[in-house]
Amino acid sequence: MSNKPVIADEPTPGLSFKEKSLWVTAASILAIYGYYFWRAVELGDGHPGELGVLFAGVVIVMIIVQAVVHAALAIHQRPERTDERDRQVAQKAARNAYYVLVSGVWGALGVAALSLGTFWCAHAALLAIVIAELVHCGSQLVYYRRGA
Amino acid sequence: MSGSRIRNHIRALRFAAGEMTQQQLADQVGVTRQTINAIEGGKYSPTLEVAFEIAGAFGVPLGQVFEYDLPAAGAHKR
Repeated sequence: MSNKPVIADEPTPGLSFKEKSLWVTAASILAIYGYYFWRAVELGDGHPGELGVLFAGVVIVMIIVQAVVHAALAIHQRPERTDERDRQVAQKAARNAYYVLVSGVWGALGVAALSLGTFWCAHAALLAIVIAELVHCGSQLVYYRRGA
Repeated sequence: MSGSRIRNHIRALRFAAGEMTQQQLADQVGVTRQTINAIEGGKYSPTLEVAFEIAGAFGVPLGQVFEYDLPAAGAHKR
């Protein structure tokens, strides 16, 4: 038998405000931009007016959803201060997102080189930005749980 | 990370310090409870500054809080 004192484990902290915020951001990006890409592909090239309205609508909805949900989250849980671990997690996630973004930009350049048109080139670039942002959120969630 | 060579005795030191909670230690050190939990679980290696703050919170030298398993001699050499 060991003489070491038995030290009760403290329960693992639940999701922090930051993690909840990341889940909300990732989910809203997936849902709202997913809808945008689905509609944009349906519309196709040659409808710049409708596409412009759709894109503006998506940006506005994104801002409203983020503001409302974050306000609701903040009512239920006080946001924690940001410390060095948060900054390290954010930096590592930004590095991962950067690789994805650069790859996506090269993909968009490839689309441009194939002369597929402004519509597809712009949407390839936008897709790269959206995927990079998802990787940014997802990486942070993984680093928070598994360690940075 | 779990594969870190840095081990710590924070849990035992908290116990010895009147069963100090992770939140109390976090408040003293100036980080979140999540960060103390991650350090204690070996998922995050703190900066020297925070490491010294933790040692200071317990009033012990740094070496009593953290231990580093030095790699075998020559392990860094090719």
